[in-house]
Amino acid sequence: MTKPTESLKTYWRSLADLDGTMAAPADEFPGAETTATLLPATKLARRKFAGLLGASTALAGLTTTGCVRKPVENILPFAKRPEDMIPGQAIYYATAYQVGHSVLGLLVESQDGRPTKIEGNPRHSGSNGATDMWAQASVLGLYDPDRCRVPHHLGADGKHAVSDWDTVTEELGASLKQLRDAQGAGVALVIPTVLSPTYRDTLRTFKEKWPKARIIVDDAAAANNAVAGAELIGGAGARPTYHLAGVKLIASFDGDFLGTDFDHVRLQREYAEGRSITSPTDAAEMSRLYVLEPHLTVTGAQADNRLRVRGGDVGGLLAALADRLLGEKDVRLPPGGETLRGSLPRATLTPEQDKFISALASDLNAARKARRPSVIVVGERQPAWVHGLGFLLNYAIGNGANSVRLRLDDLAVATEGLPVLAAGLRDNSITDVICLETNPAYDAPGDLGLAEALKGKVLLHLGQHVDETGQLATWCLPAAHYLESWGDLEAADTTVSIVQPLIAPLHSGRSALELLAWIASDAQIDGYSLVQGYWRTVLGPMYSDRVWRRWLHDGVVQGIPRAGTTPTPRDLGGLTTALTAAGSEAAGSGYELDFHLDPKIVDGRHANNGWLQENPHPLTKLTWDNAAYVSIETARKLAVENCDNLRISLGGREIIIPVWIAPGQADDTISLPLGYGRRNLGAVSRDSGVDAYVLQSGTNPWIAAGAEVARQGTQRMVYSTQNHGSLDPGVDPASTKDDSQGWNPGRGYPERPIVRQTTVEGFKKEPNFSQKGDLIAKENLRSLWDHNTHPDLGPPALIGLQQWGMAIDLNKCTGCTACTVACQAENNIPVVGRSQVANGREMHWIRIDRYYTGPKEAPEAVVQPMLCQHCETAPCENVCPVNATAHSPEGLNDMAYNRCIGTRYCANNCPYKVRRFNFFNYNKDPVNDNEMTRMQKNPDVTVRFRGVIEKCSYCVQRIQEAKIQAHTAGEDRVKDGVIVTACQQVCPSAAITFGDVADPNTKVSQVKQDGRNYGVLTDLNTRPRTTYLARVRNPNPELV
Amino acid sequence: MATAGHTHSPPGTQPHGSPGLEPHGSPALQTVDRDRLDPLTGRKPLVEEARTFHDVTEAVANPIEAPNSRWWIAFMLSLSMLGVLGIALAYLFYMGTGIWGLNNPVAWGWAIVNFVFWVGIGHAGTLISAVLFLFRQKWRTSINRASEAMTIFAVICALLFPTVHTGRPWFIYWPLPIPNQMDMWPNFRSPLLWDVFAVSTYFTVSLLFWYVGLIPDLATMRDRAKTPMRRFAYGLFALGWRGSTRHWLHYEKAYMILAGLATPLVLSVHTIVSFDFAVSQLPGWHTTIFPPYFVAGAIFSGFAMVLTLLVPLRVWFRLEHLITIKHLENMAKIILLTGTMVGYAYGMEFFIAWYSGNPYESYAFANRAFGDYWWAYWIMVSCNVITPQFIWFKAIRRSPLALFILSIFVNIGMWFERFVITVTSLHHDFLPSSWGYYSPTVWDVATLVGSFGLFFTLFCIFVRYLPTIAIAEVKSVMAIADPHYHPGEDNGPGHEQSREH
Repeated sequence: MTKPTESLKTYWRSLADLDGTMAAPADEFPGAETTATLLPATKLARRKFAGLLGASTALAGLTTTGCVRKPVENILPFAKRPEDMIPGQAIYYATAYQVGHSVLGLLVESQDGRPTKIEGNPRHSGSNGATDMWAQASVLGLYDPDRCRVPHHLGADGKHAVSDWDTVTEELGASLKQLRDAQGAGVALVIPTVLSPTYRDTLRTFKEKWPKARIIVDDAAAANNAVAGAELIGGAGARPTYHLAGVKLIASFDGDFLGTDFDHVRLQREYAEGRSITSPTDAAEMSRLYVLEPHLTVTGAQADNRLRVRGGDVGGLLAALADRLLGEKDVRLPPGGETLRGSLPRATLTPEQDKFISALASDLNAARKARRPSVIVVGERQPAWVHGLGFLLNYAIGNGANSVRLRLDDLAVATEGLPVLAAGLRDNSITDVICLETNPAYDAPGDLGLAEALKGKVLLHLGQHVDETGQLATWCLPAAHYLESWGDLEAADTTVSIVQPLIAPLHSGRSALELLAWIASDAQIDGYSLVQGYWRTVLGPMYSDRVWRRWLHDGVVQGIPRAGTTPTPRDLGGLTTALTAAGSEAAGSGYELDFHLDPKIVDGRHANNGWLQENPHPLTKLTWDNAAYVSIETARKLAVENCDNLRISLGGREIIIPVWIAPGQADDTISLPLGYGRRNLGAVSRDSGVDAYVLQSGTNPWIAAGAEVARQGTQRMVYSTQNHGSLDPGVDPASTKDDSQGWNPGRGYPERPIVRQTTVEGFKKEPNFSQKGDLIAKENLRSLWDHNTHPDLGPPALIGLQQWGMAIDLNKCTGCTACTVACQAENNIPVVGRSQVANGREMHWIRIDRYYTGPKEAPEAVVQPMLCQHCETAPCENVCPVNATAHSPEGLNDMAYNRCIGTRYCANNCPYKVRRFNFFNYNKDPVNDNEMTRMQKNPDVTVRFRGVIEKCSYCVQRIQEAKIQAHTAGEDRVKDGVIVTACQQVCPSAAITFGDVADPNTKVSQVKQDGRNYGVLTDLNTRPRTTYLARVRNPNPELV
Repeated sequence: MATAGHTHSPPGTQPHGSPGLEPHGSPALQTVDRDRLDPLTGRKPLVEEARTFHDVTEAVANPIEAPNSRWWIAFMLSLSMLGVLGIALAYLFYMGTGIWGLNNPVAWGWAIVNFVFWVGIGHAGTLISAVLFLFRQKWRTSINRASEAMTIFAVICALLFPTVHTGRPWFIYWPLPIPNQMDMWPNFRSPLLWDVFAVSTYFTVSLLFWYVGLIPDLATMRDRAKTPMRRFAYGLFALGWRGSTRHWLHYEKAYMILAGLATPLVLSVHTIVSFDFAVSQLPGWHTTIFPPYFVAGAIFSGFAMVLTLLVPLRVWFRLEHLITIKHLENMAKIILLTGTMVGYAYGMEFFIAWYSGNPYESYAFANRAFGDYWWAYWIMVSCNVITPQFIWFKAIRRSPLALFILSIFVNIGMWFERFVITVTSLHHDFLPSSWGYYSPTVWDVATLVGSFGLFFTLFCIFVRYLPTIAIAEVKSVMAIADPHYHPGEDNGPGHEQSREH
């Protein structure tokens, strides 16, 4: 190893021989999963590395034969310390992240050169300092050991052989040159939604050089229907955004704007602000949310009034609403809209639907008259005409330019959809497909048959994984992760961010931008030059290094000249035609299939991400699998229980998928989350769920009626982390058995006052309703001991100067579970796998409890984040025989992992059941402990060993860091707001407040003064430091 | 065993064939009428058939000196079960407690169930040897040795479980108050720590008590030993016992003191074990009735286990005349008493759960009887409450076979009682979101089976090498041990009044 072989030498030299602009990562051992690829940041010299490798191998040999328990590790000091880098001190860099049409500005924490944690960029309008679980988990994707590491070439034997970038440059370059010379005839470039100005610029170059090539967009997570709807009324390039700030009335037509629809992070913040109340007076001003949807989503769980409807009926209901609204005298459509009312599809409404729509219409009218802002939100799953009608209605009732805005995206490049690709492949007009970070062989609707059609046609695939398309590709190239590459992204409101890499590519990946630039014009230009060059051109003389550095630092581009065109609804002919066409369509009958983006793994892009796979679904709490969600009534009809397999067939395609009874699901509909059932993607995604894309159709991918559904006979076990969904013992809403009748154990007592909620009316009547839930009134709670949080008093009280506490506003929490993933990232929480979750051994420190209440078929759902309550008189502490868990003077219930012997008595005695036990050495499992994911670990948090208990620490490492900083600054207290826990930081709703409860002026103390403040199980005298603000719903009294 | 008030020659060291008494093996023995009453007390004799001290010595020592094949079968069977324990523990130490069915709400499973079960078993031995001793219950003499052995072995099995159930058993010494460089005490507020002290104290005192009681018999064995090895081994542990009056004087004082020490432990150990549950705040655990209820249950299960062991033993070792039907009947009566107390406790728990008005508490008990684990609850109730009621019938309580079967049911029932308390309370507690279900794995079963292997292996070794009946003590309760007894004369019931104790 000390002397490089000739071939390697050549490899080196040829890299150097490249024109030098492509700063290719020096992957010395292509294809081998060696440690060499893992140390890019330190750039070890060859000899040094070989020496270390030898030494550590020798030591490893010693340790396996001897009894040394701890692995020997070599710490490599920086011989020359990079400027500004203090070992152990995290550095944050601004970058941005895209899923579909959503862009989040990020600040990424880097520990000694390794990106470890994602945070939102407070300067960015798309994130406002928060993120979602997808962005949180994307850092684990960077370290996914199953990532494609080197280029692969499909040999004559039909198998992929390891190749290298030189060969790629040479051989693939030759093929591309031929195609380019033919002006790209027969070529299809398949790309995801592009929101990057530089990428779009490069696409234009591509279009110039490859004029005959087709550009196809394949992006299941994109808001294509919303865009198409906007273009129906606003002309080509029109892009919609919803804005909920100040909105008092929200009507969501199958919209999951708090969950998976585009811009959900921003909308969640704006929505939560509209639900922020402190008194019954505010509560009257609180927004009201109507939701019509087939499947209970995060948004539906927030609804004040929710209607279960078939996905295919939503458009008809919106038309019915339109009919009612347009019947008002002073509601006027833009010019050309006169005939529109007549062409509205006529739907037959059930009495329940009629009542709902009437109430909604009168509420909207009242709001319009009172000039209270309202909005009609249409979900991405609905076809374009529903979106178009929704936008138009918003304009008609005066929401245009307020809660709904259209803008002209003048930089957009014309693209086509997947059906075009399928047709082209069928008639052989497309013979070579180039897939850049797209996976049409997997995520295209099944009726297009692309998985078959693409065989032998994929010339080149660039991706993070050797995915389903990569497996077919002649050239399968590794893509650089967004944390490894340069780029830029334009958010929905035209905020532009520069995507800057946190780390050099860990493997030999290249970004799609770099590759496209090379494909387009054979120029090997590195990402940095492309992005910076683009902006230099755009800015012209205004460009300076100072401006550029400012952009990189802030994560937001400022001062770029843009044409501020705002399209308004003008030509309504297209919409009228679409409406007429929709009206003539026969209403769907039989079982309806509703496809959904998975709240966890999106469209499958995160299928190999353990954090997201293990994160419980926000409502059904399923982990590691998808299922066919059906209503209780449908389950009875099909004679199935949870986990029974269903055979679902549509148009000759069929899947077998386990059933899961989901309260709140519309009858005769079956909701199928996409993204599961990946084929040979990686270890994590193996055997995870069932691929539902198979049943999708190209024309209307999200909703399909007329499916044949039958019980299949077998079972597939899927596991939920919460089996009991009701606070009323003995009643299980997710059971087909009729248990509301007859005697049930434990009945006859009030429902458990764990989650407390009321309506606005109830709040007015009883401002202190939340305290009424206490089984024992506060003044009757007696304790044997004196407790105080006052700093002057002595032990055994809590004598710290500052006392930490938390408040969680249940009125704002939507249960999106981003906090669960953030906590996992921050606190090195291991992934335990399906079998362990099946036995209730998930390790999450914060879980979102979900309870159903109300009628069994269509219940309301309430959510409650449950984490260590840091009880002042913690029941866990006095039962530990070895003092492994004890109270800090500042009121934290601390856990000393290395003192713990694992009696688990604390877990038994915890009434909140928030303690987690390492039943196995989870952190030594290859999923958690491999050369890659190890790099993600937060160095400030202990990685726990087998046999110890762990739990939420209120992010004690962040508290300590802030205290050290305060101490260095000569202060004895940490200022309010300096300490932000991981869950608090990520929360898009800003539902979590943390701080010093001893100081009455802090935000958390003030929040706890709220009349809705209550503690869970305070009758046990646990004196929890985490308290909740009870939820207030705002239902329309007419519909109660 | 002779009480301190007696002045006659201690019988334990009587060389066989002592002068003045009939030679052993007299044909008269074979014709003894089983219904004959004790000439002095007018009650059923505690020792049937054996006329002389030597008969007793022979009856007890013979099986030890000439082992029979049945012992080998029992021993090999036990040993293979012990092997199961070895495998189960080796795998446990290698993998971690995850091999068991434990999960998040149910963090204590079979290991703790088994622990409480075995500690409970231990109680009968101490009750028989110490409490009945202090209450001058002479019938205890022929069963106390085996029961005490059972106690010790049961406690060994019990001690195994808290050790291996921890996540990091290699640090099991941390709850001990050992001075250390961290200046760190264990947490004296933790019931688990009380357990450490309670059970270890109990084990130490029981062991001492048992050993002290063994000394005269060890000397007998030494004196009868035919090989130098045996003579040395028994001699070593007999501590040079010669049976002098001074020896007896000290011995009896020591025995009395230990009995006095052991008596409160009978109550304290299971009281403290019950604190593991009662001190917590979990509905179904947090109950003030637990200490007496646990002690009654422990005695109940302990006596059942004594019966389970002694009924076959007395047949196989031909000790029916020493462990008589009367002994079995007496034990059965205690089982009936304690079983009924346990039944009362079950009822009272429900009453209090309702009367308290605490919704969590009432749910916990409703859930016990009618929830997911209803079957466990009703197995428990049928075995523990219904089974003992058969003992009201004289024919049943005097039938060894019937008692053996009943005792097995009680053992099962008492294991289930601990299962019901531990698991059903944990699986559904305050927050329905964290409710779960616990089912054991093959390793849970293997550990339980293995612990029986350990118990029976130790018991087999005990019956093979040590006198299973306290020879010296049995002799002291025979009629001929009484100075007022005159063979052949009428020592009718009227004699009783003149005896002073």
